[in-house]
Amino acid sequence: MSAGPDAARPTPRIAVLGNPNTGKTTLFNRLCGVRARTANFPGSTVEGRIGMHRSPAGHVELELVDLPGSYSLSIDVPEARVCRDCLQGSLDGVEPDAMLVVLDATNLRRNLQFAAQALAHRLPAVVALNMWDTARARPECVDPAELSRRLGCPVVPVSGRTGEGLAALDVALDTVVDLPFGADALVARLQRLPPADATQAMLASWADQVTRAAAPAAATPARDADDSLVDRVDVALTHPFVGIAVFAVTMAALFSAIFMVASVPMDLIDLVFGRAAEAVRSALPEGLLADLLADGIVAGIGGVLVFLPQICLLFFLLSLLEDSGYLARAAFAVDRVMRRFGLSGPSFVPLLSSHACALPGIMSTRLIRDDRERLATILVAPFMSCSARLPVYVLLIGILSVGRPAWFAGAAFVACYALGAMAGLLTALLARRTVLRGPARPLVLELPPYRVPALRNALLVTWDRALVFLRNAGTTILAISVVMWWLSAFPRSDGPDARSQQAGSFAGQLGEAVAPAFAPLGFDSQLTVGVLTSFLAREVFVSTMGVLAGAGSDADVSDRTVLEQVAAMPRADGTPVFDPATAAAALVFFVLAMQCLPTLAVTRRETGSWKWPAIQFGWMTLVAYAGALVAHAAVRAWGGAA
Amino acid sequence: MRPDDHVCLCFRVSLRKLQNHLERERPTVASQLSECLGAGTGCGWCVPFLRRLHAQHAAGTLPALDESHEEYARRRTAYRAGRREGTYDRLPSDPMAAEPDRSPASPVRVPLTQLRRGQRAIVDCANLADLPEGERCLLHAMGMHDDCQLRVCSPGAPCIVQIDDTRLGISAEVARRIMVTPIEDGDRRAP
Ligand SMILES: Nc1nc2c(ncn2[C@@H]2O[C@H](COP(=O)(O)OP(=O)(O)O)[C@@H](O)[C@H]2O)c(=O)[nH]1
Ligand code: FES
Ligand SMILES: [Mg+2]
Repeated sequence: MSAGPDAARPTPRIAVLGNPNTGKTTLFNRLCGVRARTANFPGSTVEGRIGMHRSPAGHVELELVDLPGSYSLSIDVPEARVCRDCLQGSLDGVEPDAMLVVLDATNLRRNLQFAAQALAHRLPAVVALNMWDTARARPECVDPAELSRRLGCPVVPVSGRTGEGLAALDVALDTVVDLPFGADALVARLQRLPPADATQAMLASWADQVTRAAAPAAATPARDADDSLVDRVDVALTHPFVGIAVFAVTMAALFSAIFMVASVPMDLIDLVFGRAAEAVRSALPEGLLADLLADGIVAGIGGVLVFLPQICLLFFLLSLLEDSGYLARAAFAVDRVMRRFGLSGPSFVPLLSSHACALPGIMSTRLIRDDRERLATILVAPFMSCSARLPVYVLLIGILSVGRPAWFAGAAFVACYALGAMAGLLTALLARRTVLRGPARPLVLELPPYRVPALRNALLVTWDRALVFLRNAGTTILAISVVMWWLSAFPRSDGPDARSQQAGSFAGQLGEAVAPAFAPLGFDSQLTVGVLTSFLAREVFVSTMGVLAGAGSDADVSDRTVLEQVAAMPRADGTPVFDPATAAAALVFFVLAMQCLPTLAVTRRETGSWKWPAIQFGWMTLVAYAGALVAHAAVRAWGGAA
Repeated sequence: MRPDDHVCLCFRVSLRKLQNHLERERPTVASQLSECLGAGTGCGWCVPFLRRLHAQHAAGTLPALDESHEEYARRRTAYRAGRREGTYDRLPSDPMAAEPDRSPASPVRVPLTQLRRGQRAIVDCANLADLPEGERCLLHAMGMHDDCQLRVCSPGAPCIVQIDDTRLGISAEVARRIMVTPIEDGDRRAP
């Protein structure tokens, strides 16, 4: 029997559980603030948070676990499994000392069904009657004292939003972990609850009974007047045309905001780290150490941090949208379209986010309930044209559109984005018919009430996501940068310029060796080196080509932009590297290829095995190669005919 | 059929539960089997089989059914599809299917998708038995259980309904299977 804190484990653990959207996280954030970390539970895709809380009055430190919201403890979904495991102590080996069941006071009946299941566990419990700020104003408000009598445990009305009732909650929590919890207390509580193996119907009728007793006025049907306005908004936002149009506009606004706002800190980070690299160089004697620090480590850290503004902004804005209640409607509206491709509404946002960067896109697939669907979404997310491809598009489309009408470049940009999205959706369809075959899960989604989003929650989500990114993806990206530096810096050549260093390095040798494979696409060995280095991170392509082109021609380098230099780059035989067919092939290759090691690392982390990154890499490279081959042949044929 | 297979699919009553119930309660008439978790009071399909089990028990043999469960479930689906289209109106004449509210012949039962915005109705989840188990349990846990009252917020398929203070978005394929008895303008069917 668990009996409060003991000497061996000084911090009692309290499991925080409840239905989704009851304000568990808000309450948890109130209590723990930034003294919390995201916890990835072993063998599960859902995550929770663990935080520390010390009540102002109390002397005990409490460890709170914010569990994922679940509609029932007995159903077979990941969230319910995590909650059950946590209550039984099999989640991470620590048995909780008490539970804090969070109920939404404005939706008591359904919440009580969950409470009955939770309270049947042999743990001391406190019930937090959340949303008290809203519930109190309603005529059908529940009486906490009566509810407490019915449930056999303390019931504290609180509001995570305004903070009222938190002092009382602290007292209740302190008391509950201090007092021994005997068998008689449990028996007394169990007598009031429905039997342990109660069906949902029995739970419902018990909940109804308790609701009638504790909140007599709640038995009357919901209020019509304000509902009908919400109804109208819901009808519009989930309408097949209006709803999708509103969603498209919202997302377009979201991403333009991210692009515009994030570009400032991103440029700043670029600048600062560029300066830092220079500073390192000038401070240290010329040599390996300076190279490693400047090109490997400082540039590597810069390469990690440069993703951070977009990730933070995306999660901040998404969290606001989700909190407002809009995101659930949007997912419901796009469900029909996504279903055609074997995906569903909740996959849309991750895919859209991937247009900024596949990393946050893949990280946000956790909203998808179905495992296979989630894997399919992760698999195809990198097909979306992320912002790291943009510099490459600019370079190659610039080369392609020389001497063509002005609309050509714009059309080419749109075509690139469309090509990536189509390839992704068709791949999803293919995967759902083959490796990820499974029934499309019919969508049943709770549409939470519209609310003014809580800034505090959004900031904490952002903080959390940033930490997760830095801790996991960050270390990988840094390692890659160092390896990449090593590949292009060794073996050291005595040649005078960067070009001979590039050619003689392992990367250069590799390019020479692999060049025959890319010859059908019209790539020469220089372009092959560019493509190979960009397999680690595609933005590198432009700088590699810049180095190769700049180093190759000694005359009037400074008068020409990098773009012009690259466009004019000669092959070994003097003809330009980028004839139209080759440029088109390279462009298609960059649209479709998996050239981002950080993404592979995140895929590995999110899927828990190397199998999926391997499939992702293999398939995308295959599609990219085939696409580039077709593009090369097509432009050749077309050019020949013209 | 194996002991853990459901004989009454509407209420998910397994063969084992029925065997135990027969052994423990020794009901004198077959209709008393409905006291075992409501067996037979849904679509009525399983009623003849419940009778057979009761007879076997009365004869002193272990109650069992030799139909394969897949076949059994498939035939039930066909039975219910036929009944929906009106080609199969031979209703079980057994008293246990005579619970008035749920009577399959009740003229006002319509699919949820036929209600108008703002209309209220009482839910009958019987037809949800062909949904995957996980989905059905989730729906129940979200508040959509037998006899609950709902209000239509956005009609059609897919639709949005409100149960108490919970709004649920329900995709078309699920919404079509939820049968409801309208309680406002119940006699006037929506177009
Ligand atoms: N009015 C009100 N809203 C709240 C309260 N607590 C949480 N919310 C809102 O309820 C929504 C869901 O909260 P969240 O903490 O994410 O719920 P969770 O899913 O249980 O973790 C958010 O929009 C919160 O801003 C409260 O006490 N009063
Ligand atoms: S299967 Fe038993 S009532 Fe429908
Ligand atoms: Mg939460």
